[in-house]
Amino acid sequence: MPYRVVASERRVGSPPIRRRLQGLLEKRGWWLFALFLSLMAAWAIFPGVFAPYDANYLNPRNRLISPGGASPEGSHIAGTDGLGVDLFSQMVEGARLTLMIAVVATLLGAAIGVTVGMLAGYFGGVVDRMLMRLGEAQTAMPMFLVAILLLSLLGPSVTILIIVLPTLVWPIFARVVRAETLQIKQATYIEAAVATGCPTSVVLYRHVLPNVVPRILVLFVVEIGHVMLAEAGLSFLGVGVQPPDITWGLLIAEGRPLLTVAWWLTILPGVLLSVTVLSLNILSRRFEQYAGAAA
Amino acid sequence: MNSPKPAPFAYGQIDERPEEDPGVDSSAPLEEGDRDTPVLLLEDLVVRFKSMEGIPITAVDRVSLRINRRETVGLVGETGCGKSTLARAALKLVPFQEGHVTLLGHDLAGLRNTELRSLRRRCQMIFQDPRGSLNPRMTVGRIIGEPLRVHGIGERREQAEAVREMMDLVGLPDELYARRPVQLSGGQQQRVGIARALITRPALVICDEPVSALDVSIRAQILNLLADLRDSLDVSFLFIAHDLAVVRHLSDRVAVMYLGRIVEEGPVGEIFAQPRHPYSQGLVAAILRADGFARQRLGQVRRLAAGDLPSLLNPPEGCRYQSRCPYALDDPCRKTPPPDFVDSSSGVSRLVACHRWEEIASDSLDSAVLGADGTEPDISIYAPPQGDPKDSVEPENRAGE
Repeated sequence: MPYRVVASERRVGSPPIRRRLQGLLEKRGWWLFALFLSLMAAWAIFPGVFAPYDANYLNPRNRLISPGGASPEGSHIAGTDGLGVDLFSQMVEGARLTLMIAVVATLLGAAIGVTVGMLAGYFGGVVDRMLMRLGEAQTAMPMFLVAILLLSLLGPSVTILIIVLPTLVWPIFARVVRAETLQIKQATYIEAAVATGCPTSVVLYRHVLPNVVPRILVLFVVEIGHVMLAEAGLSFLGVGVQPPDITWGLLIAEGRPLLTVAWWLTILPGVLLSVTVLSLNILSRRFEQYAGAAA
Repeated sequence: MNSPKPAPFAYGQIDERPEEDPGVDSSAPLEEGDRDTPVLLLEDLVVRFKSMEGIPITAVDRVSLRINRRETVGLVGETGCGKSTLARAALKLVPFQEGHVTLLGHDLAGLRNTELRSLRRRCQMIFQDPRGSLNPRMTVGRIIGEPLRVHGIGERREQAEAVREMMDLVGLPDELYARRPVQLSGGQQQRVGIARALITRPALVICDEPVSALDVSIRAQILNLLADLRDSLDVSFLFIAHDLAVVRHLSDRVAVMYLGRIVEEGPVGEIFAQPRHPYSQGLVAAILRADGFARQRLGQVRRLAAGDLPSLLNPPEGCRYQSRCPYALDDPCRKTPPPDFVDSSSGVSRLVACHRWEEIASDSLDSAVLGADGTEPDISIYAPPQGDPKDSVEPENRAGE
């Protein structure tokens, strides 16, 4: 029987502009985002180097200078807020707490999720059902509202925030790791490990965990972005970080009442937050490609 | 004889070593019995699974097998007949429902988990899929050294030394130590698997089709390696294969398995020279068919097993082989399962599970084929359902697949 060539339905022409842009960002431009994230990390670690002013120094005579303007003390790239504090310095200062909360909370969430997911996937049966139902029950609850409730009850503080935020993300880690573990469990090298005499803890730690790490890494980077947005949301609502601590979410909240007169107070920290989350997403895609190539 | 600092991993010296080596055995919490204790003893082992629909499947049905010290036993049968399950049950990698497994004098049923784990140090396994059996995230050195770490044998430096020695023994170049499994060839990967299995100085190594995933040229190398190791080390092998030529090359005794049962067992030479069970005859004929003379002979006799292995969900009544057996009679073959006939007349015991083995093994083969009443047997059950009749005698060097 001769083969019949079936014409492909996919058009051969150039892909739509959106896809092209996305592809370009991921294939060529990813290092720009990596660079941006490194800059953010540098802000967080050495705010003194980057901030032109003290982020707590207020001078009402310099209030609401628009971006690019100048005061007797010097120029303000990002303008000043209602109390005359330099916004750029606040944004630099805010990077530390914003990133710290996001990274630590995601780490905690990942640790819980990976443990639960590995146990559920490896043991299966009752353990699996109990652990995963727990995660599902939690996913079914509007956790953001629960977080607001908890924070209002316990009083807003950075510590409570770091305890509450992981509950938002652990079920995602648990689900991914469980699925991955189910697959890895079938591998002959796991059977070989058991046959060799490895106790279950060693099987999980030395043989299962290293093989789920690539997937976790990708997820971890994405989830940092999610947690960052959640923290910004909570701080925006007033139950998250409290002044005089600064995070980007808090800056947005503080700028909101002045939105009509001073747009930069909300827009600039908002753009910063968005670009950071975008960078994390793009980098995670990049990681994913690497992880896929390695496996 | 005991040096102050014993080198527990020097394989070359293994036969000069005293039986109770303090460097190794002092850390072993379990006694292993004397030289006459079989390394592995299976008694009426039954392994059942539940199928997806919940129907119980008996994968291994009342199997008994004995492996003595320094003995290599081949286990052959078609894919799906329960060989691998049997091997895994023997190490309690899958649970068994009835019967007894005695490993190095210890009944597995009565062992606690920790005892089982330390027993596993002495009973290792080599797997069919060389690449899949190696953790892709570990280096070769770590994979081979893993059993030592798990059982806490030796210091870190000694372990690394032992790994290099082992690599040398199985013919792996030293520069592969820090490589990952994906960077190795299939043959090298299987050598890593062999090195890992042997590094704890096991008393029993179960090889689950160790060469069937390898190229023919590599296969010969690995088989020669296994043969060398068998001759030089104090170790017993249970060698599973569906390729009889491979088993003949290595084994002292052979057990033939069909649909969860051992149908014939005996010394390798006798099984290959005079198979008694019709299924074994089919298998042996299948390898002989490579030479023209044998093919001709079989063209007349046509006693090959044709068709597929019956489903374990619904095994044939009576003798399990009756649905494919050219000699099967309505009574007793299709009615009652055959008992295990043990024949020790020639000095060594041979087992065969067939009602008619005496007739079949005798010279009156043709009358056996033709049946007692002298009529033509219905060969359609073991001839291919369609196509050129010569298909049925075309060489195929495998027993299964």
